[in-house]
This record gives sequence, structure tokens and C-alpha cells, in this order.
Amino acid sequence: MSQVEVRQLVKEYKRRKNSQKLGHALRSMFAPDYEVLRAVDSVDFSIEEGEAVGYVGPNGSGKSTTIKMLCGILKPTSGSVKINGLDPFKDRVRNSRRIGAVFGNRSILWWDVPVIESYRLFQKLYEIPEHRFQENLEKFTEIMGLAPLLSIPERQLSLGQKMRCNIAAAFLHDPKIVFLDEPTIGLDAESKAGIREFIRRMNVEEKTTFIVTSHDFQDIESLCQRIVLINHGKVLLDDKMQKVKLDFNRKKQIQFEVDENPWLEKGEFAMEGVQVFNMTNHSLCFEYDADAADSLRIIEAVSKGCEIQDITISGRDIESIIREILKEEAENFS
Amino acid sequence: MKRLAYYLRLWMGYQRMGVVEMTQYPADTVILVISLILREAAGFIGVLAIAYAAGGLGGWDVYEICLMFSMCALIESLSQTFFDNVWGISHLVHEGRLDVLLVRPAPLFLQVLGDVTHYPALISMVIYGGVMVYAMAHVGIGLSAGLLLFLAEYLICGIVVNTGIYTIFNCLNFWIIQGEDVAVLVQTCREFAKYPIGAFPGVIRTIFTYVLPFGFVAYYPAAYLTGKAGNWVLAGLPLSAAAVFAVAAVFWQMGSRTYDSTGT
Amino acid sequence: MDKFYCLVKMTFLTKFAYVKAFWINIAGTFASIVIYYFLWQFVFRQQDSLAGYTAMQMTTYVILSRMLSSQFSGGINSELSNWIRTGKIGTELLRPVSLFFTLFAKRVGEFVFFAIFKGAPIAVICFLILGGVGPSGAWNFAMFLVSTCLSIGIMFFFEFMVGLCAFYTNHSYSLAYAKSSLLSILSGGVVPLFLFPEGIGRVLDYLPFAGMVSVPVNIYLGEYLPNETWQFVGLQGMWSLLLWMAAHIFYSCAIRRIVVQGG
Repeated sequence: MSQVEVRQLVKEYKRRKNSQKLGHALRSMFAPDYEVLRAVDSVDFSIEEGEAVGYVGPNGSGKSTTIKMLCGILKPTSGSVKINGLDPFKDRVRNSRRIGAVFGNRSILWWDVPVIESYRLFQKLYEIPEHRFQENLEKFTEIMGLAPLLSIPERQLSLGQKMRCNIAAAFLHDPKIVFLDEPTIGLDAESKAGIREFIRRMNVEEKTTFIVTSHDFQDIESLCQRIVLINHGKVLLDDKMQKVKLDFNRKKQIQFEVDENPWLEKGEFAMEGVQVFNMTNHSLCFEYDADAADSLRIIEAVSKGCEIQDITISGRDIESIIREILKEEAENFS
Repeated sequence: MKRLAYYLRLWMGYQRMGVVEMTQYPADTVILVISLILREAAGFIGVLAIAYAAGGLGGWDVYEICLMFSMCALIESLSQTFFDNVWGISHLVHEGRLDVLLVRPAPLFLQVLGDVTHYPALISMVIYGGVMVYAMAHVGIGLSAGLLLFLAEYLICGIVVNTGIYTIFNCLNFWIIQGEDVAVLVQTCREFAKYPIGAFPGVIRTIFTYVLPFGFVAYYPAAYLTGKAGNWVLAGLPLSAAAVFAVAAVFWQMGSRTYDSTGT
Repeated sequence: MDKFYCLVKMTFLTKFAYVKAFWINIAGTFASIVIYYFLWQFVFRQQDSLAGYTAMQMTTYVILSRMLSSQFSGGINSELSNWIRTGKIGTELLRPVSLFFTLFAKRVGEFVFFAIFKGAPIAVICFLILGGVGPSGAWNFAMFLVSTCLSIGIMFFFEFMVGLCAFYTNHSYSLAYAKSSLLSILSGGVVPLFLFPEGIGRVLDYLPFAGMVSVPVNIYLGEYLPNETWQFVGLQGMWSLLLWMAAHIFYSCAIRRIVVQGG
């Protein structure tokens, strides 16, 4: 059995319709109007131990709602969630001993007390044995440079420092699964890198399973082996990161800087599966299908006509792939 | 038993946080104490003025009213010290902070209570305790083992009734979007507890004895102490406390199950 | 003026969005009227009049004073201190209208809502059920309205200053409670001011607090002579002016702290 199993998961919200018209507002004092909103719609997936999964989708796609159901915060409208065989909502206390959660926009620490005091309370909450607590604290302190922060109240920390302290807090009790909801939101490049490094190490060394939601695709690309894309509450894509890239990256671009472009006047550069993207007197840019054409053969052909000074080959990054899938979905949707 | 030890350790941990927090804002402590004293004093002054004007109220003289008021304030300040965060339910729900508490492996209610402690409220407790002793001396209640036992029973049951009713009302926040008005409603209802309930007509007396037993927070115990009510108060206190506790527990269970984590 | 109307309307619509809470609020006010009604009934069982008030007049006093003092809780100070606590004040300061203006418009919006949907209906219902006396004359009623409107100003400046305290303390909730308790005592919202010991009662009459409950209600009941009425209303006007200045001075001091807190 997989560590996380999500079957036909649905979550519906009831939302009150607010009117901007006085007349309607008056009427709604006595009989409010409601509309039903399906935030998560028949979602299925399972996650094995040690996997790192990127759970992505645009704002309001149902990501956070799913994560909240996985953590046991929300009760599913229908369908089931099993984490290590437990229902996180019904078995909330038992389940939460084994999971950790970080919410990028919400601190899990106590605002007014030094960070170490918060950690001490976590030790009591999760009943972490003293030696294990010390070991973890030492390790996390070293990786993320927490030592100078521990004696400062959270309210006096910068955003990046806060996040590092929060992430360390979520790992103190050796969770088997950690949910990271926007862990790097609003952080600078250095803090982001530090946090990613920590998460990657925990994934490799402790075999901790991760589910990460983020709008920063660098997070997803550098942390996750697998990606689940959700929009309008439905899963659009669930596959290995590498495979997604391969599948959607058959089209590549190759760009040459050359001394003199002989094809500019002679016209066509003909090769099967290769289209000219643009060219100037000193540069050439082709788009080619990775299945039909081979970059080496293109280079060879170009080098016969002129002297190559620089070559850049670029595939698309995961962000533009996702964007394209979403765009296609939107077209089908309408 | 093991569970209980865990809860106790956890609770101590939270108390420690409370103390650390208090030391962070010394100026706030003063503000809190003053506001607490004022809050209780408002009704106090009102009822004393009425009692002076009318020469007593429903068979209660001024000192007896003082006794009742100080008992009421005593319970309130204890509730403030350790159980004040039931008033925070509104914020926890509407700002989605409950999410954070829900991913921790401890009972939600314990975490909610632990999150806020107001030790400065103990100062107002001492002050109103002083008023109580003063009033007792004037009413002519002497110190005895029986009195101490009764006071112990009263304090425990009174706090349960008081906090329990607050909890029930604050649980309404799970279904209603704006919390402040709930607070106003409870505070208003609790106003009844500060006055001799005997002055009110039967319907209201029944409500505050059987439906919202605020009468047991001060009126009946004070009536017992001043010989206006019989020994049935001794049984009434734990019974009402148990009933309020049970209802509050049901409300809390139902409420926290409907929590919909608004706000992202 | 256009902006003002818009802001008032916004407050109005926001109020509508919280319907259930509104019913609870009404229940709360109703309960508090009932409490004091019965307490006074008790007093009047033994005597016919108290310092010139008959039982009917006292009932009227209770209904009107509880109604007016139900405005003390909540209000602008909680909104303002919330803005300060959450940092939303930053965005509010960037708006093209002053904070003072926005909040005052909100206050007026709340008051209009209060008057139409709560004040008038509850007053009528309570008058019908509990019994009370009508205004002692058309002129008194008009002056009662004038005085009540002036009291919004006084109330607003107080709330504004209490709200600003959030710059200095985390306990704005306690302060809000202290504010409503203090205002209800000092304004005559709990017991009529004449019940206080002679000297204290006199002083309280002339403090700005009396203008929020005691003065309008007494005008309504015709307890003041016409020239006294003018004096009290004039005094309210003066206090509004003084508090307006105080609020502005406090505001300009407090707002400097934003710079310190930034980051």
C-alpha cells in the first residue's frame, strides 16, 4: 500500500452571494443566497514513501484545499484520503504525530517568544525524546544557520529567518511526510536556496516524503521528482518530472552566433524537421523536433557554411510547459 | 493515565509560554490590569448606585451586593487568566489560524486555551478577593473549615460554568462570520449574573438558573453564604457545572468539525 | 461629499454581509434593556418617584440609554487597531483621502445603519412592550436628535484615540472593553448621573461623556429647562471641537511610529 492514497476526493464549499445592490442586500438579511463551489473534484493519486511531489496549479485551483484535507484540517465532502492507512480527519491526533506541515503565509511558531521556547513546546507537544531533540536541533541549526536566531522572538525576525525557523520546527519530530504550502513565498534568492538545500537533504538522508505546492517553479524543479498539476479542482497531469519534460520538450531551439550568415542571401536552410525561427547577418535560430532531427546534424550542417562562434540549445522549462497545458485546458474548457 | 500526564506536561509548557510572553510586554500588563478592573467596576458602580437609591435590592443590602459582585469578579479574573482564549475562537476561525493548531497531535481545545494566558489578571483577582473578604467581614461570615471547603467547590464549579457558557457562545463563531457581536451578547447575558437574580421576574430567573446557569457564578453561592438559600446550592453547583460542561463539549465538537478553514 | 457618500454606503453594505451577527447584536441590546428595566421596576415597587423621575420616565431612560450606549462596543477603535496590528494601516494611509475622513465616514455609516435598523425598531418595540413616555415636546425631540448627532462626533474622536493606542500596546481588546465600560458609566448609560454622589454627578454632567447618553436622553424627557438645553448642546459642541484637536495631535504623534515599526 502506498504511503498516501487519495481516492475520488471531493470538497465543496458553500459560499454566500453578496450583492452590491442595496435592494438585494436588504432581502438577503432575511434569506441569504448560497452557491456551491467545488474546490476539489474527484482527485486521485498515490504517493510512495520517500517521494518528493510538486503539487502545482494556478491560484484557486484547489491545491491548498487538497493539502488541508491531507493534513486532516478539512473534512472531505466525499472520497477518501489515507495516510499510512489512517484517515487524517478522523484520526487527526494520531496522524499529525507523523506529519509535518509548513504554511508559507502562516507561522506555526509563537509570535512573542524566543524561537527556542517554541521549539521546546513542540518537544512537549510531540513528546520528542531529549536526545533526539538535541540531535535534530543541532543538525538543522547547522544546515540552515539558525544558531543566532534561536534566542530572538519570532516577531523580530526577517521573513527569510522566520521561514527557516518555521521549516526547522516542522521537522523536529521526525515526520514521515511533510506538507509544504508555498514554503518560499516572498523570500530572497539566498533564503530560497538555503531552504531547498535543507529539504533536499531531508528527502535524501531521512527518506522524508514531501508534497510541495509552490508558484515558484524553481522550487518544484529542484526539489521534486514528480509533478501533479491541478486546475479547477481536477488533476490534469500526474507524472515524473523527467518524463513531463521529455514529453513536452520535443520541440527545442538551437541558436548560433556566426561570423557571417551565408543563408541570409541564399535563402532556405533545408533539413527535415527543422524550421527557421529567425536569422540575421550574424545569427541563426532554428526550432526542431527532437524526435525527427538531431542537434549534432544541424551543427554539422551549419558549420559547413560558416564559422560558428557560439551555440545555445534550449528546451523549455517546466514553467512554460505547465503554462501551455493550462492554456490548452482553458481553450478546451471554453 | 499516561494521556493525563501528557496533557499536564503540555499545559505546563503552555503556562511557561504565558510567563515568557508577559515579560516581553511589561507596559501591556498594566493596561490589562486596569482594563480588567474597570470592566467589572462598571456594573458594580451601577448596581451600588441603584442599591443606595433604593436602600437595598430585593432583600440584599449593600454589603451583600458587594460580596456577590466580588465573587463574580473573582471567577471572571480566574477565567481571564487561564481560559481567556475561548474569546479568541473567533479570530482563530476567521483568520484560519486554527489550521496550524489542527496539524498538531494534541486536543484542539487544550491548544486553544494554552495559546493565551493573562497572568496579570491575577492582580485583579487579588483586588476583588480583598473586596470579598471585606464584604464577608461586614456581613458577618466567619472563617471556618466548612467555608473554605465551600469556597473551593464554588471556585471550581463557578469557573466551569462561566467558561463553559463562554465556550458555548464562542462556538457560534464556527457558523457565524463576525465574532464581536457574539461577545457583546454573552457579556450582556452575563450582566444578569452580577445582579440579584431575585429581582427579576420568574422567566428570567428560570433562564439564569436552568438554561444559562449564570446564577451559579455568583448569585446562588452568595445567597448561600448569606443564608438566603439553603443547602441545595451545594448540590446545584456541581450539577450545573456538569451540565454546562457537557453542552459546551458537544458545541465544541460540532463546531470544530464544521470548521471550513476560510482564508488561504 | 461624493466620496463620503460612497464610504458610508460601503459600510452599510458590509453590515448587510453579516446578517446573523446583526440579529445577535439586537438580541444583546434587548437583553440589556430588559435587565435594567427590571432592576428599576424593583426600585419603583417601593417608591413612586426618584429624584423627579417617575417609573415610566425611568423606563424611557433605560430604553434610550441602553440603546445609545450599545454603540460604545465595537466601533471604529477595533477597526483602527486591527489595521494597526495587521499593518493594513499602510495601505489605508496611501489612499487619496485622509484616514480621519475614511474612518469618520465609516462611523457615520455605522450610525445610520444603527439608527434605521436597530435604534428605531427596538425603541418602538420596547416602548410598546415595556411602556415609556414620548418626548416631552416636538422641540425636545428635535433637540434630542441634534444632541444625538453631536454625540457621534464625540464618540468618534474617543474611538479614534483609543484605536490609536494600538500603536503602543498589544492589548487593544482590553482597551476596547475598558473603553466601553468606562463610557457607559461616565455617560450615564448604566445609571442616571444624578444617582451619583452630588459632587461627582455635577462634574460628570459637564464632561464630554455625558453628551453621549445623559444629555440627549434628559433633553428628550424634558428634564432640562430650554436655556439649560442650549447650554448642554453648546457644551457638547465645544467638547467635539476640543476632542477633534486632541485626536489630531495624538494622531500626528502616533503616526510617526509607523516609521519605527516598519520592516
